[in-house]
Amino acid sequence: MHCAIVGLQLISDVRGGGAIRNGKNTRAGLIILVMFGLTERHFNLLAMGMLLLGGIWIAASRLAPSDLAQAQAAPQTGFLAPQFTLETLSGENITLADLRGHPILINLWASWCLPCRAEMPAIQRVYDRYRDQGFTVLAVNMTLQDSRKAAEDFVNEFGFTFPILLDVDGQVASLYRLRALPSSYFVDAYGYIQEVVIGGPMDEALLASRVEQFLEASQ
Amino acid sequence: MFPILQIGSIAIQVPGLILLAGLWVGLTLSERLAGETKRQPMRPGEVSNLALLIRLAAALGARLGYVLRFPSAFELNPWNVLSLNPGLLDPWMGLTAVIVAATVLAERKALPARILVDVFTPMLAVLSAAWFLSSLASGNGYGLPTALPWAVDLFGAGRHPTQIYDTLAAVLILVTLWWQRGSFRLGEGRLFFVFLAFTSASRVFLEAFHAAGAVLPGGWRANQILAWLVFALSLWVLQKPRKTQGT
Repeated sequence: MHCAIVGLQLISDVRGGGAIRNGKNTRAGLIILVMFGLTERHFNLLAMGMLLLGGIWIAASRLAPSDLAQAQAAPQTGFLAPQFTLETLSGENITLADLRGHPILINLWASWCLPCRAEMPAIQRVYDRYRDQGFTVLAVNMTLQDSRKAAEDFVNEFGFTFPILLDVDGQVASLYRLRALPSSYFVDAYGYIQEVVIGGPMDEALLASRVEQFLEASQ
Repeated sequence: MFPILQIGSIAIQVPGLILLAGLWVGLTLSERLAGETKRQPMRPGEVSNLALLIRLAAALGARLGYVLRFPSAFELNPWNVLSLNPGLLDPWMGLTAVIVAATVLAERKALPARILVDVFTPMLAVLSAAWFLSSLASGNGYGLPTALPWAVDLFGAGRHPTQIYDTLAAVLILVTLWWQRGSFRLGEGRLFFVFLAFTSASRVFLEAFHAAGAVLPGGWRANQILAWLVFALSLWVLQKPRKTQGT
Protein backbone atom coordinates (compact mmCIF):
# COMPACT_ATOMS: atom_id res chain seq x y z
CA MET A 1 0.00 0.00 0.00
CA HIS A 2 2.81 2.31 0.96
CA CYS A 3 4.46 1.54 -2.39
CA ALA A 4 1.24 2.43 -4.23
CA ILE A 5 1.02 5.76 -2.43
CA VAL A 6 4.67 6.53 -3.18
CA GLY A 7 4.02 5.51 -6.81
CA LEU A 8 1.04 7.86 -7.07
CA GLN A 9 3.11 10.63 -5.57
CA LEU A 10 5.79 9.99 -8.14
CA ILE A 11 3.23 10.12 -10.98
CA SER A 12 1.85 13.34 -9.61
CA ASP A 13 5.38 14.72 -9.36
CA VAL A 14 6.05 13.79 -12.97
CA ARG A 15 2.90 15.50 -14.15
CA GLY A 16 3.60 18.56 -12.03
CA GLY A 17 7.21 18.56 -13.13
CA GLY A 18 8.18 22.11 -12.26
CA ALA A 19 9.22 21.71 -8.66
CA ILE A 20 11.57 18.94 -9.57
CA ARG A 21 13.05 20.85 -12.47
CA ASN A 22 13.90 23.62 -10.05
CA GLY A 23 15.69 21.14 -7.85
CA LYS A 24 13.51 21.69 -4.79
CA ASN A 25 11.85 18.32 -4.58
CA THR A 26 14.16 15.70 -3.16
CA ARG A 27 11.45 13.09 -2.51
CA ALA A 28 11.00 11.80 -6.03
CA GLY A 29 12.50 8.51 -7.14
CA LEU A 30 15.21 7.63 -9.57
CA ILE A 31 12.93 7.78 -12.62
CA ILE A 32 12.18 11.41 -11.99
CA LEU A 33 15.70 12.24 -11.00
CA VAL A 34 17.06 10.86 -14.23
CA MET A 35 14.29 12.06 -16.50
CA PHE A 36 13.78 15.51 -15.09
CA GLY A 37 16.89 15.94 -13.03
CA LEU A 38 17.56 17.38 -9.63
CA THR A 39 20.33 19.82 -9.16
CA GLU A 40 23.70 18.67 -10.39
CA ARG A 41 24.91 18.04 -6.86
CA HIS A 42 21.89 15.90 -5.93
CA PHE A 43 22.15 13.95 -9.16
CA ASN A 44 25.83 13.25 -8.61
CA LEU A 45 25.24 12.20 -5.01
CA LEU A 46 22.46 9.85 -6.07
CA ALA A 47 24.56 8.44 -8.92
CA MET A 48 27.46 7.74 -6.56
CA GLY A 49 25.09 6.15 -4.06
CA MET A 50 23.51 3.93 -6.71
CA LEU A 51 26.91 2.85 -8.02
CA LEU A 52 28.12 2.09 -4.52
CA LEU A 53 24.98 0.07 -3.76
CA GLY A 54 25.39 -1.74 -7.06
CA GLY A 55 28.99 -2.61 -6.18
CA ILE A 56 27.96 -3.92 -2.76
CA TRP A 57 25.16 -5.98 -4.35
CA ILE A 58 27.58 -7.49 -6.89
CA ALA A 59 30.00 -8.45 -4.12
CA ALA A 60 27.22 -9.86 -1.95
CA SER A 61 25.75 -11.93 -4.78
CA ARG A 62 28.99 -13.62 -5.84
CA LEU A 63 28.49 -17.28 -6.56
CA ALA A 64 29.73 -19.79 -4.00
CA PRO A 65 31.64 -22.82 -5.37
CA SER A 66 28.62 -25.00 -4.48
CA ASP A 67 26.40 -22.82 -6.73
CA LEU A 68 28.81 -23.14 -9.63
CA ALA A 69 28.61 -26.90 -9.99
CA GLN A 70 25.25 -27.97 -11.41
CA ALA A 71 25.70 -31.50 -10.10
CA GLN A 72 22.28 -32.71 -11.16
CA ALA A 73 21.49 -34.00 -14.61
CA ALA A 74 19.03 -32.23 -16.92
CA PRO A 75 18.70 -31.85 -20.70
CA GLN A 76 19.74 -28.20 -20.57
CA THR A 77 22.89 -26.16 -21.17
CA GLY A 78 25.08 -26.09 -18.06
CA PHE A 79 23.82 -29.37 -16.58
CA LEU A 80 25.26 -32.88 -16.62
CA ALA A 81 23.91 -34.85 -19.56
CA PRO A 82 21.38 -37.44 -18.30
CA GLN A 83 22.94 -40.90 -18.29
CA PHE A 84 21.71 -43.82 -20.37
CA THR A 85 22.74 -47.20 -21.67
CA LEU A 86 21.34 -48.33 -25.02
CA GLU A 87 21.88 -51.12 -27.52
CA THR A 88 23.30 -50.18 -30.91
CA LEU A 89 22.20 -51.44 -34.32
CA SER A 90 25.20 -53.78 -34.28
CA GLY A 91 24.11 -55.29 -30.96
CA GLU A 92 26.61 -53.84 -28.46
CA ASN A 93 25.68 -51.72 -25.43
CA ILE A 94 26.92 -48.15 -25.11
CA THR A 95 26.83 -46.22 -21.82
CA LEU A 96 27.16 -42.44 -21.99
CA ALA A 97 29.27 -42.30 -18.81
CA ASP A 98 31.91 -44.56 -20.41
CA LEU A 99 32.62 -41.86 -22.99
CA ARG A 100 33.61 -39.24 -20.38
CA GLY A 101 36.74 -37.46 -21.62
CA HIS A 102 35.42 -37.12 -25.18
CA PRO A 103 33.32 -34.30 -26.62
CA ILE A 104 30.09 -35.95 -27.79
CA LEU A 105 27.19 -35.00 -30.02
CA ILE A 106 23.99 -36.75 -28.93
CA ASN A 107 21.58 -36.56 -31.85
CA LEU A 108 17.98 -37.75 -31.39
CA TRP A 109 16.44 -38.70 -34.73
CA ALA A 110 13.91 -40.79 -36.62
CA SER A 111 14.02 -42.08 -40.19
CA TRP A 112 10.72 -40.39 -41.12
CA CYS A 113 11.94 -36.96 -39.93
CA LEU A 114 13.05 -34.96 -42.98
CA PRO A 115 15.39 -32.49 -41.18
CA CYS A 116 16.99 -35.48 -39.41
CA ARG A 117 17.67 -37.13 -42.76
CA ALA A 118 19.02 -33.86 -44.14
CA GLU A 119 21.55 -33.28 -41.34
CA MET A 120 22.85 -36.83 -40.90
CA PRO A 121 25.30 -36.69 -43.87
CA ALA A 122 26.71 -33.44 -42.44
CA ILE A 123 27.14 -35.13 -39.05
CA GLN A 124 29.00 -37.98 -40.78
CA ARG A 125 31.39 -35.56 -42.54
CA VAL A 126 32.14 -33.76 -39.26
CA TYR A 127 32.57 -37.10 -37.46
CA ASP A 128 35.04 -38.24 -40.15
CA ARG A 129 37.01 -35.08 -39.75
CA TYR A 130 37.28 -34.90 -35.95
CA ARG A 131 36.97 -38.48 -34.63
CA ASP A 132 40.76 -38.88 -34.56
CA GLN A 133 40.86 -35.99 -32.11
CA GLY A 134 38.44 -37.74 -29.74
CA PHE A 135 35.08 -36.44 -31.00
CA THR A 136 32.26 -38.95 -31.09
CA VAL A 137 28.60 -39.04 -32.13
CA LEU A 138 25.76 -40.96 -30.50
CA ALA A 139 22.87 -40.99 -32.95
CA VAL A 140 19.91 -42.16 -30.89
CA ASN A 141 17.07 -43.44 -33.03
CA MET A 142 13.64 -42.87 -31.47
CA THR A 143 12.72 -46.46 -32.19
CA LEU A 144 9.53 -46.19 -30.13
CA GLN A 145 8.24 -43.72 -32.74
CA ASP A 146 10.13 -45.34 -35.64
CA SER A 147 11.12 -48.91 -36.48
CA ARG A 148 14.40 -50.77 -36.30
CA LYS A 149 14.04 -51.83 -39.93
CA ALA A 150 13.47 -48.26 -41.19
CA ALA A 151 16.43 -47.01 -39.14
CA GLU A 152 18.65 -49.78 -40.47
CA ASP A 153 17.65 -49.10 -44.10
CA PHE A 154 18.40 -45.39 -43.72
CA VAL A 155 21.80 -46.03 -42.10
CA ASN A 156 22.76 -48.57 -44.78
CA GLU A 157 21.64 -46.24 -47.56
CA PHE A 158 24.10 -43.53 -46.47
CA GLY A 159 26.72 -45.75 -44.84
CA PHE A 160 26.95 -43.95 -41.51
CA THR A 161 29.87 -45.16 -39.41
CA PHE A 162 29.10 -43.54 -36.03
CA PRO A 163 27.18 -45.57 -33.40
CA ILE A 164 23.43 -45.78 -33.99
CA LEU A 165 21.63 -46.38 -30.68
CA LEU A 166 18.08 -47.68 -30.41
CA ASP A 167 15.73 -46.04 -27.90
CA VAL A 168 13.25 -48.90 -27.97
CA ASP A 169 11.32 -48.05 -24.79
CA GLY A 170 11.49 -44.25 -25.00
CA GLN A 171 13.98 -44.01 -22.09
CA VAL A 172 16.15 -41.32 -23.73
CA ALA A 173 13.13 -39.46 -25.17
CA SER A 174 11.82 -39.19 -21.61
CA LEU A 175 15.19 -38.33 -19.97
CA TYR A 176 15.89 -35.63 -22.57
CA ARG A 177 12.26 -34.39 -22.55
CA LEU A 178 12.06 -34.75 -26.31
CA ARG A 179 9.87 -32.04 -27.86
CA ALA A 180 10.86 -32.08 -31.51
CA LEU A 181 13.06 -34.01 -33.91
CA PRO A 182 15.90 -33.68 -34.51
CA SER A 183 17.23 -32.58 -31.11
CA SER A 184 20.98 -32.32 -30.60
CA TYR A 185 23.04 -31.99 -27.42
CA PHE A 186 26.70 -30.99 -27.48
CA VAL A 187 28.30 -32.58 -24.42
CA ASP A 188 31.81 -31.58 -23.37
CA ALA A 189 34.58 -33.88 -22.17
CA TYR A 190 33.44 -33.41 -18.55
CA GLY A 191 29.91 -34.62 -19.28
CA TYR A 192 28.21 -31.21 -19.23
CA ILE A 193 25.79 -30.10 -21.92
CA GLN A 194 27.27 -27.03 -23.61
CA GLU A 195 24.57 -26.39 -26.20
CA VAL A 196 21.15 -27.68 -27.17
CA VAL A 197 19.90 -27.38 -30.75
CA ILE A 198 16.24 -28.19 -31.18
CA GLY A 199 15.15 -28.59 -34.78
CA GLY A 200 17.32 -28.75 -37.85
CA PRO A 201 18.96 -29.38 -40.16
CA MET A 202 22.31 -28.25 -38.73
CA ASP A 203 25.02 -27.10 -41.15
CA GLU A 204 28.50 -28.63 -41.31
CA ALA A 205 29.96 -25.27 -40.27
CA LEU A 206 27.81 -25.13 -37.11
CA LEU A 207 28.73 -28.68 -36.17
CA ALA A 208 32.43 -28.25 -36.97
CA SER A 209 32.79 -24.93 -35.13
CA ARG A 210 31.12 -26.29 -31.99
CA VAL A 211 33.26 -29.43 -32.07
CA GLU A 212 36.41 -27.31 -32.49
CA GLN A 213 35.38 -25.22 -29.47
CA PHE A 214 34.80 -28.27 -27.27
CA LEU A 215 37.97 -30.00 -28.41
CA GLU A 216 39.94 -26.86 -27.59
CA ALA A 217 38.27 -26.56 -24.17
CA SER A 218 38.96 -30.19 -23.31
CA GLN A 219 42.71 -29.90 -23.95
CA MET B 1 9.40 -23.72 -21.51
CA PHE B 2 7.85 -23.79 -24.96
CA PRO B 3 10.70 -23.98 -27.46
CA ILE B 4 8.79 -25.48 -30.38
CA LEU B 5 5.33 -24.85 -31.78
CA GLN B 6 4.38 -27.93 -33.78
CA ILE B 7 1.82 -27.25 -36.50
CA GLY B 8 1.34 -30.50 -38.38
CA SER B 9 4.75 -31.44 -39.74
CA ILE B 10 6.13 -27.93 -39.31
CA ALA B 11 8.13 -27.15 -36.16
CA ILE B 12 8.29 -23.42 -35.48
CA GLN B 13 11.02 -22.12 -33.16
CA VAL B 14 9.04 -20.08 -30.62
CA PRO B 15 12.04 -18.02 -29.33
CA GLY B 16 12.81 -16.86 -32.88
CA LEU B 17 9.15 -16.07 -33.48
CA ILE B 18 9.04 -13.91 -30.33
CA LEU B 19 12.18 -12.01 -31.41
CA LEU B 20 10.71 -11.37 -34.88
CA ALA B 21 7.45 -10.14 -33.35
CA GLY B 22 9.51 -7.92 -31.00
CA LEU B 23 11.40 -6.45 -33.94
CA TRP B 24 8.14 -5.64 -35.72
CA VAL B 25 6.51 -4.05 -32.64
CA GLY B 26 9.73 -2.16 -31.81
CA LEU B 27 10.07 -0.76 -35.31
CA THR B 28 6.43 0.33 -35.25
CA LEU B 29 6.98 2.21 -31.97
CA SER B 30 10.21 3.81 -33.26
CA GLU B 31 8.43 5.00 -36.41
CA ARG B 32 5.60 6.37 -34.30
CA LEU B 33 8.05 8.21 -32.05
CA ALA B 34 9.80 9.72 -35.08
CA GLY B 35 6.42 10.83 -36.48
CA GLU B 36 5.21 12.31 -33.20
CA THR B 37 7.97 14.84 -32.70
CA LYS B 38 7.39 18.37 -33.86
CA ARG B 39 10.82 18.87 -35.38
CA GLN B 40 10.71 15.47 -37.09
CA PRO B 41 14.44 14.84 -37.18
CA MET B 42 13.67 11.66 -39.12
CA ARG B 43 10.68 10.78 -41.26
CA PRO B 44 8.90 7.57 -40.18
CA GLY B 45 9.74 5.89 -43.52
CA GLU B 46 13.40 6.72 -42.99
CA VAL B 47 13.36 4.78 -39.71
CA SER B 48 12.39 1.55 -41.49
CA ASN B 49 14.99 2.04 -44.23
CA LEU B 50 17.74 2.74 -41.73
CA ALA B 51 16.66 -0.20 -39.56
CA LEU B 52 16.81 -2.48 -42.60
CA LEU B 53 20.32 -1.30 -43.54
CA ILE B 54 21.55 -1.61 -39.96
CA ARG B 55 20.06 -5.13 -39.67
CA LEU B 56 21.77 -6.09 -42.90
CA ALA B 57 25.09 -4.73 -41.63
CA ALA B 58 24.60 -6.57 -38.33
CA ALA B 59 23.96 -9.89 -40.11
CA LEU B 60 26.91 -9.45 -42.47
CA GLY B 61 29.28 -8.34 -39.70
CA ALA B 62 28.20 -11.13 -37.36
CA ARG B 63 28.63 -13.78 -40.08
CA LEU B 64 31.98 -12.37 -41.20
CA GLY B 65 33.14 -12.38 -37.58
CA TYR B 66 32.14 -16.03 -37.20
CA VAL B 67 33.88 -17.06 -40.43
CA LEU B 68 37.07 -15.28 -39.32
CA ARG B 69 36.87 -16.98 -35.91
CA PHE B 70 36.32 -20.51 -37.27
CA PRO B 71 37.68 -20.48 -40.84
CA SER B 72 38.37 -24.22 -40.89
CA ALA B 73 34.74 -25.01 -39.95
CA PHE B 74 33.65 -23.65 -43.33
CA GLU B 75 36.12 -25.79 -45.30
CA LEU B 76 33.74 -28.77 -45.36
CA ASN B 77 31.05 -26.73 -47.10
CA PRO B 78 31.96 -23.15 -48.06
CA TRP B 79 28.31 -22.47 -49.01
CA ASN B 80 27.55 -22.48 -45.28
CA VAL B 81 28.81 -18.88 -45.31
CA LEU B 82 25.35 -18.09 -46.74
CA SER B 83 23.48 -20.29 -44.23
CA LEU B 84 20.41 -18.83 -42.52
CA ASN B 85 21.40 -20.56 -39.27
CA PRO B 86 21.59 -17.96 -36.44
CA GLY B 87 24.09 -20.20 -34.63
CA LEU B 88 26.75 -19.11 -37.12
CA LEU B 89 26.86 -15.49 -35.95
CA ASP B 90 29.40 -13.67 -33.79
CA PRO B 91 27.43 -11.25 -31.56
CA TRP B 92 30.37 -8.92 -30.78
CA MET B 93 31.26 -8.48 -34.45
CA GLY B 94 27.55 -7.95 -35.14
CA LEU B 95 27.45 -5.19 -32.53
CA THR B 96 30.59 -3.59 -33.97
CA ALA B 97 29.01 -3.68 -37.44
CA VAL B 98 25.86 -2.01 -36.08
CA ILE B 99 27.89 0.82 -34.54
CA VAL B 100 29.95 1.30 -37.71
CA ALA B 101 26.88 1.15 -40.00
CA ALA B 102 24.89 3.53 -37.79
CA THR B 103 27.81 6.00 -37.71
CA VAL B 104 28.31 5.90 -41.49
CA LEU B 105 24.58 6.16 -42.27
CA ALA B 106 24.11 9.00 -39.78
CA GLU B 107 27.00 10.88 -41.37
CA ARG B 108 25.70 10.34 -44.90
CA LYS B 109 22.24 11.55 -43.93
CA ALA B 110 23.66 14.38 -41.81
CA LEU B 111 21.88 12.98 -38.76
CA PRO B 112 23.60 13.34 -35.38
CA ALA B 113 24.13 9.93 -33.76
CA ARG B 114 22.13 11.15 -30.74
CA ILE B 115 19.00 11.43 -32.91
CA LEU B 116 19.55 7.95 -34.29
CA VAL B 117 19.92 6.32 -30.86
CA ASP B 118 16.90 8.18 -29.45
CA VAL B 119 14.64 7.16 -32.34
CA PHE B 120 15.69 3.52 -32.09
CA THR B 121 15.36 3.36 -28.27
CA PRO B 122 11.75 2.04 -28.34
CA MET B 123 12.90 -0.70 -30.70
CA LEU B 124 15.77 -1.63 -28.36
CA ALA B 125 13.42 -1.60 -25.35
CA VAL B 126 10.91 -3.91 -27.06
CA LEU B 127 13.70 -6.20 -28.28
CA SER B 128 15.07 -6.38 -24.75
CA ALA B 129 11.67 -7.54 -23.43
CA ALA B 130 11.31 -9.94 -26.38
CA TRP B 131 14.78 -11.39 -25.68
CA PHE B 132 13.88 -12.29 -22.10
CA LEU B 133 10.49 -13.65 -23.17
CA SER B 134 12.26 -15.81 -25.74
CA SER B 135 14.51 -17.11 -22.92
CA LEU B 136 11.35 -18.13 -21.08
CA ALA B 137 10.32 -20.11 -24.17
CA SER B 138 13.73 -21.72 -24.69
CA GLY B 139 14.49 -22.42 -21.02
CA ASN B 140 17.77 -20.46 -21.14
CA GLY B 141 18.71 -17.97 -18.43
CA TYR B 142 17.26 -20.12 -15.65
CA GLY B 143 17.55 -19.13 -11.99
CA LEU B 144 19.32 -20.34 -8.87
CA PRO B 145 17.55 -22.85 -6.63
CA THR B 146 15.32 -21.22 -4.02
CA ALA B 147 12.71 -22.15 -1.42
CA LEU B 148 10.62 -19.04 -2.07
CA PRO B 149 6.89 -19.71 -2.57
CA TRP B 150 6.95 -18.47 -6.19
CA ALA B 151 9.81 -20.81 -7.19
CA VAL B 152 9.23 -22.74 -10.41
CA ASP B 153 10.10 -26.43 -10.65
CA LEU B 154 12.75 -26.58 -13.34
CA PHE B 155 15.59 -29.03 -14.03
CA GLY B 156 15.11 -30.94 -10.82
CA ALA B 157 14.84 -28.03 -8.37
CA GLY B 158 12.60 -25.15 -7.33
CA ARG B 159 14.22 -22.11 -8.99
CA HIS B 160 13.88 -18.35 -9.20
CA PRO B 161 11.71 -17.62 -12.27
CA THR B 162 14.45 -15.33 -13.59
CA GLN B 163 13.06 -15.18 -17.11
CA ILE B 164 9.84 -13.75 -15.65
CA TYR B 165 11.73 -11.26 -13.44
CA ASP B 166 13.76 -10.16 -16.48
CA THR B 167 10.74 -9.85 -18.77
CA LEU B 168 8.76 -7.87 -16.19
CA ALA B 169 11.68 -5.49 -15.61
CA ALA B 170 12.15 -4.95 -19.36
CA VAL B 171 8.40 -4.37 -19.89
CA LEU B 172 8.35 -1.93 -16.97
CA ILE B 173 11.25 0.02 -18.49
CA LEU B 174 9.57 0.01 -21.91
CA VAL B 175 6.21 1.17 -20.56
CA THR B 176 7.80 3.87 -18.37
CA LEU B 177 9.89 5.29 -21.20
CA TRP B 178 7.05 5.14 -23.72
CA TRP B 179 4.67 6.80 -21.27
CA GLN B 180 7.20 9.53 -20.51
CA ARG B 181 8.48 9.96 -24.07
CA GLY B 182 6.94 13.45 -24.29
CA SER B 183 9.30 14.58 -21.54
CA PHE B 184 12.35 14.08 -23.72
CA ARG B 185 13.50 16.33 -26.50
CA LEU B 186 14.21 13.83 -29.24
CA GLY B 187 17.75 14.03 -30.52
CA GLU B 188 19.58 14.83 -27.28
CA GLY B 189 20.40 11.17 -26.69
CA ARG B 190 18.92 11.29 -23.20
CA LEU B 191 16.10 8.86 -23.97
CA PHE B 192 18.66 6.27 -25.05
CA PHE B 193 20.93 6.78 -22.05
CA VAL B 194 18.00 6.68 -19.61
CA PHE B 195 17.01 3.36 -21.22
CA LEU B 196 20.61 2.18 -20.91
CA ALA B 197 20.79 3.29 -17.25
CA PHE B 198 17.53 1.55 -16.30
CA THR B 199 18.39 -1.60 -18.21
CA SER B 200 21.93 -1.89 -16.83
CA ALA B 201 20.72 -1.16 -13.27
CA SER B 202 18.10 -3.90 -13.61
CA ARG B 203 20.79 -6.29 -14.89
CA VAL B 204 23.06 -5.53 -11.91
CA PHE B 205 20.18 -6.44 -9.61
CA LEU B 206 18.57 -9.36 -11.44
CA GLU B 207 21.70 -11.19 -12.62
CA ALA B 208 22.20 -12.12 -8.95
CA PHE B 209 19.33 -14.62 -9.24
CA HIS B 210 20.65 -16.29 -12.39
CA ALA B 211 22.31 -19.70 -12.30
CA ALA B 212 23.79 -19.49 -15.80
CA GLY B 213 26.25 -16.97 -17.23
CA ALA B 214 29.98 -16.36 -17.30
CA VAL B 215 31.62 -16.44 -13.88
CA LEU B 216 35.02 -14.93 -13.13
CA PRO B 217 37.46 -16.29 -10.53
CA GLY B 218 36.13 -15.68 -7.03
CA GLY B 219 32.51 -16.17 -8.13
CA TRP B 220 32.13 -12.68 -9.63
CA ARG B 221 29.50 -12.60 -12.34
CA ALA B 222 30.82 -11.10 -15.58
CA ASN B 223 27.36 -9.87 -16.65
CA GLN B 224 26.88 -7.93 -13.42
CA ILE B 225 30.27 -6.22 -13.70
CA LEU B 226 29.65 -5.32 -17.35
CA ALA B 227 26.19 -3.99 -16.46
CA TRP B 228 27.66 -1.93 -13.59
CA LEU B 229 30.18 -0.34 -15.98
CA VAL B 230 27.41 0.47 -18.50
CA PHE B 231 25.31 1.92 -15.66
CA ALA B 232 28.24 4.13 -14.58
CA LEU B 233 28.80 5.27 -18.19
CA SER B 234 25.09 6.08 -18.64
CA LEU B 235 24.95 8.14 -15.46
CA TRP B 236 28.12 9.96 -16.49
CA VAL B 237 26.62 10.82 -19.90
CA LEU B 238 23.28 11.83 -18.36
CA GLN B 239 25.04 14.14 -15.96
CA LYS B 240 27.24 15.65 -18.67
CA PRO B 241 24.82 17.94 -20.58
CA ARG B 242 23.65 19.35 -17.28
CA LYS B 243 27.16 20.74 -16.79
CA THR B 244 27.38 22.34 -20.21
CA GLN B 245 23.89 23.80 -19.98
CA GLY B 246 24.51 24.98 -16.44
CA THR B 247 21.12 23.85 -15.15
